[in-house]
Amino acid sequence: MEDKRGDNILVQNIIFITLIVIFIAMLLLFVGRSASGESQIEEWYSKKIALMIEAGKPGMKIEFNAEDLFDVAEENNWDKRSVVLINDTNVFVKTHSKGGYNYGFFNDVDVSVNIDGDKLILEIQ
Amino acid sequence: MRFNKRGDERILYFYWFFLFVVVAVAIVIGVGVFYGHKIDVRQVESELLVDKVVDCLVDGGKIGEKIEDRFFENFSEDFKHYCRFDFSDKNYDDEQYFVLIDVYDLTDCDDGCDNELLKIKEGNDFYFQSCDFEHNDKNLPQCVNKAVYTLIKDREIVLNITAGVGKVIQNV
Repeated sequence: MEDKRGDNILVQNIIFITLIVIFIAMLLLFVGRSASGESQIEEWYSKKIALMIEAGKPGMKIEFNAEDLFDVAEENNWDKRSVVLINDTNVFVKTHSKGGYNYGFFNDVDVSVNIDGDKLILEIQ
Repeated sequence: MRFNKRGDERILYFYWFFLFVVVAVAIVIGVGVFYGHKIDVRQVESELLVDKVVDCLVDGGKIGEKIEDRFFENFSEDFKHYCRFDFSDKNYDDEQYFVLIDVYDLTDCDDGCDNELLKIKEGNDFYFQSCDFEHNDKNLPQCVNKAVYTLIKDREIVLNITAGVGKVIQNV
């Protein structure tokens, strides 16, 4: 004879524990991502690059160290060359496959992005 | 007195889950507030915008040779293109910048300036109306105002330049 009541309690317990585990995993993921500062570093670099372009003039070449940005991308197995993208008047910084941060600038200029080791090189045309 | 123990267990599950959700939401809010602080760069952007306007119009203390002949005529129509400004932003539906240049004769400027010779206005007009010069309210566009003394064909003029940046969502 099967103990249906016992089975039900077991199923309920499994569902409850599974839900709690999923919830904890999501919570840890959120806290981990927030604490690692990925989104902050993306925002910071996006705004910093936009301000550099706004302050710059056509013909200028701007070089700066972006080691911490590339380190985050490397940790996430994200290609260094895809970290900073500039389209029209927007700087898009992305250190992982999802998300990223986009910030605009007001100059109507073309900007090319190059990488030399840990240096990010912006050329304003 | 008889109790429905199965019902009690279900209520207990619900209670624990509810409690857990409350704690989780509190942690998410706490972490969000702690790490979600945005960097406000609008004041710097407004300063840069004013400097760019000056760089574009003034060359060696005078209004640039390329534009001095048409400065009071049709230059305002060409201002944005000539100075290479693009005020559109993919993150917003409307423009997030504005520039207002009021041009006065120096002789009309004593305690403030009168008799405006020219007005050049570009960008989101609404921002100029809601400009926050005191920097107290972060929910308003951040603006900068500078007066620049210059010459145009030996005539002394004052450029009163106001620039502002909205982008409230990304900076507050």
